[in-house]
Amino acid sequence: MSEIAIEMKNVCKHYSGHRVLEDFSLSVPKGAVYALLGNNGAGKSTSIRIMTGQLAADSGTVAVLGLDPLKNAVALRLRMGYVPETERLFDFLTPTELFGFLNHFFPDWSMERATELLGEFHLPPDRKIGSFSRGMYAKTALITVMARKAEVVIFDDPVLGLDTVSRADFMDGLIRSIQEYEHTILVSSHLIPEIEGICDHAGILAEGKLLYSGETEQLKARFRRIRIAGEDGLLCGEICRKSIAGESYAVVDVSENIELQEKGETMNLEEIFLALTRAVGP
Amino acid sequence: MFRDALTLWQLEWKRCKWLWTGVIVLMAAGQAMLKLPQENMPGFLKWCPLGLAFLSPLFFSGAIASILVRNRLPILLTLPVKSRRIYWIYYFGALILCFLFASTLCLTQVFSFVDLLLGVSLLFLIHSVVFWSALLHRDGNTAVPGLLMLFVLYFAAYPLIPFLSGFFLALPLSQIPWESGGLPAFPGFSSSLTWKMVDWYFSIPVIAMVFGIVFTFSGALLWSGKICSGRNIHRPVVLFLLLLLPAPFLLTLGGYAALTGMEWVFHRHWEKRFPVQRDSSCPEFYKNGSGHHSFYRRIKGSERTEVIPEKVLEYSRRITREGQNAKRISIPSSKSLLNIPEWMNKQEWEKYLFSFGFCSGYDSIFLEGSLACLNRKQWGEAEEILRGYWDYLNFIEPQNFYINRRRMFFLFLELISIPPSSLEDPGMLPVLRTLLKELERFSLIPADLSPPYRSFSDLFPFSWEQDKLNQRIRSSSRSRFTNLFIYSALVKGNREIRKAAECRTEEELARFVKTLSGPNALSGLLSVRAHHVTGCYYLKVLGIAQLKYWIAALEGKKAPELPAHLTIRNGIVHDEITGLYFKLYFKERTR
Repeated sequence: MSEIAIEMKNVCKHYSGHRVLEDFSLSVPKGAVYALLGNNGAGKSTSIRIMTGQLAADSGTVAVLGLDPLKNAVALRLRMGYVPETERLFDFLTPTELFGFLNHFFPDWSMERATELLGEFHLPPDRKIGSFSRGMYAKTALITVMARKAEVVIFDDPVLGLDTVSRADFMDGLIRSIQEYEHTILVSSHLIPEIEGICDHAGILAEGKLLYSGETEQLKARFRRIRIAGEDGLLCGEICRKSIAGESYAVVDVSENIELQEKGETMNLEEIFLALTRAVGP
Repeated sequence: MFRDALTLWQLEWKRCKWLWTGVIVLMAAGQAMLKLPQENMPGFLKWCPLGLAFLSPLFFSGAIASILVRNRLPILLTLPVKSRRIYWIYYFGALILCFLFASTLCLTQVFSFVDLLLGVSLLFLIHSVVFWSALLHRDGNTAVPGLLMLFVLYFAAYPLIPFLSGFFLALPLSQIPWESGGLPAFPGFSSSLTWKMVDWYFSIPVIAMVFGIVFTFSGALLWSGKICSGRNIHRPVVLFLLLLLPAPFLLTLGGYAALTGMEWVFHRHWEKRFPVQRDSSCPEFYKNGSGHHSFYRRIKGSERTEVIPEKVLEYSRRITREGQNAKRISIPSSKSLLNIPEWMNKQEWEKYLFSFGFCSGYDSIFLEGSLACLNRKQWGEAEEILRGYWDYLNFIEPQNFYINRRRMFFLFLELISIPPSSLEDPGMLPVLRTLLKELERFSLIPADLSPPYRSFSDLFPFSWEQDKLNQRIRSSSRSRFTNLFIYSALVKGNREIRKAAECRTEEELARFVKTLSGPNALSGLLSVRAHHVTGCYYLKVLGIAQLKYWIAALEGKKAPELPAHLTIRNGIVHDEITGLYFKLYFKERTR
């Protein structure tokens, strides 16, 4: 049995001549919480839409749980949960009605669990979803995957536009979901600090290319911030330079420069992301 | 599937219940207006429901399609349901609503059943086109371009409509493939009105249904193959339209070419065997004339007419006297005046007469005239009319398949229509003997030993008197199809006659007749498609036996011997093999 939950190989996608994904390859192990990080327009949503079978790639291969998302769409949707980027629920339904609707289609749907989660998230069961705040809306969307036992759950920028409290509540819910079920989670976001604490794998996407993909700890160990003098030449493995409070720093990929492995400072995910994306930026 | 459909329809009802309720109320109000006294009602109020009915597909098809594609398919495509199933559920949901609303129109009796057929097909087309258009644009408002496309489709199908009408007008000939004229008109309608009716109630609905189906499946393919996977749809849509719009024209052109080619091949096949009869070789009386009024008079207190036996007698004498120089007079049929034989039910009788009297009638005066004389006990006159008719047929040269068939049916009708009361009178003997003589002389002419009665110039029957192109196409198409039916009937008839000729004994022939006529021999006899051999068998075996029986009875002689497979039970002679029978009427006397 494959240990890879999501795999994309050499995927390319163009929109009207504009390149969105270029030779994109991604591999998410089973049971991982994978953070797909990227700026707006980096290709996160496009890659997710390809994974979920809503979009066909121009070339390359895609497999989720070993299934082709386009050819085996129905079989895959039974094993996969998906929360889209913006609110796409049926606004004219109440949460109870929505859950009843989903209950018809998903054999693994648990009405008890959904009702329980409604209470835990303090959501009114009989109010139209259209009248919900963005936070409530996001929590309702979270319930639509938490009330199932999906093997793979994909979130497309789930905390986008949420206030701090709502984001925290949502993330709590997500953590609980991870704790309760051993499903594979892929979360795309550009709000990196929010998901840094929960993800164990990360992929950094810029301009349609995956710059890095692997375990978060390895990523953090791989990139270090080295203090340098202004006149120092380019370091081996240097990605970029930046100034913080008058001091100059170089971000170095220590896998290419073993001598610097124990030097300098470690960086958080957001700093690494910024360093990598600026390095390829315009 | 059905449970999924119910769940999704329920979902859409929750989404749009107020909007749809509003439309339903509006429709109901429109219906109520039609029930009100309408004398003083403004026209627009009367036609309000009609307008709504035509707006409803726009509304439902457009709105539902846009719901389907709006916001890049929200939750629907995350459901474990095949995308094409979602398409069909939404498509049929919208279609059912369309028809629900349109059907209320029929309740108002504004439309008749034929309008309903037209309405259903047009509504189906409108729905399919609007749904398709709204899917492409992902917007309900763009259903309007979909409606505009209907006009484009109408012009695209313009040449196909009369071509198809020609087929429908010729279609009765596939059942009665002996007349060259095709269906001239529906009873009670003029020829031009008939053509218009065929256009609107047959051709346009068929084309609308085909277009509707094409758009429906095109929508399904685009939806599941392109839209759901975010693929570009511009190229396939342009390609589809480029193929679809010229298709009716090319189909007409191709169909016409194929028909002409087939006809040419058929004609060459028959022409090689026998010289084609030229128009100039026709006897004068075989050509059209007029003067049918002189043979009929109106029945007092009725709209019906009856034949004047004296006039028929006079005409029969003229034919006998003048022979080929006698002028043929065109006379319409009046089949309703023929008495139904008591052993035949009305339905069977009309079915039979449909084949005999519906498409022509120039010889029905002889039948009606002779029967009228028999009823008046004018035996000599009846016999003269019969002889006149044999002369009439004999003067037509060459004796082809068609004339042979008319002779057979006339004999058959004469035989079964003899009034039972006349069989009591010895004066009837000459009539019966004349009939017997003709029956004994009669034989089937195989189609391939009989030259076609149509000239090769009929291949190009373009009637340039028609001032409109579509009328020309229509009449030409009708002729094409008619000719094909005739040729195919010739082939079929020929095959049957040839096979019958191979039978060595009467029993063997009877068994062959049984295979042709099926389990119900009488209905096989009456079947317009299978009566060459069956009809001939009836005449030559049962008919002759019947006449001999009657003649013997009138002469007071012993009844003739019957073939082994004919038995008499309860005054009826039964053919044990074929199931055919005839009634003896005066059973007591023959004993």
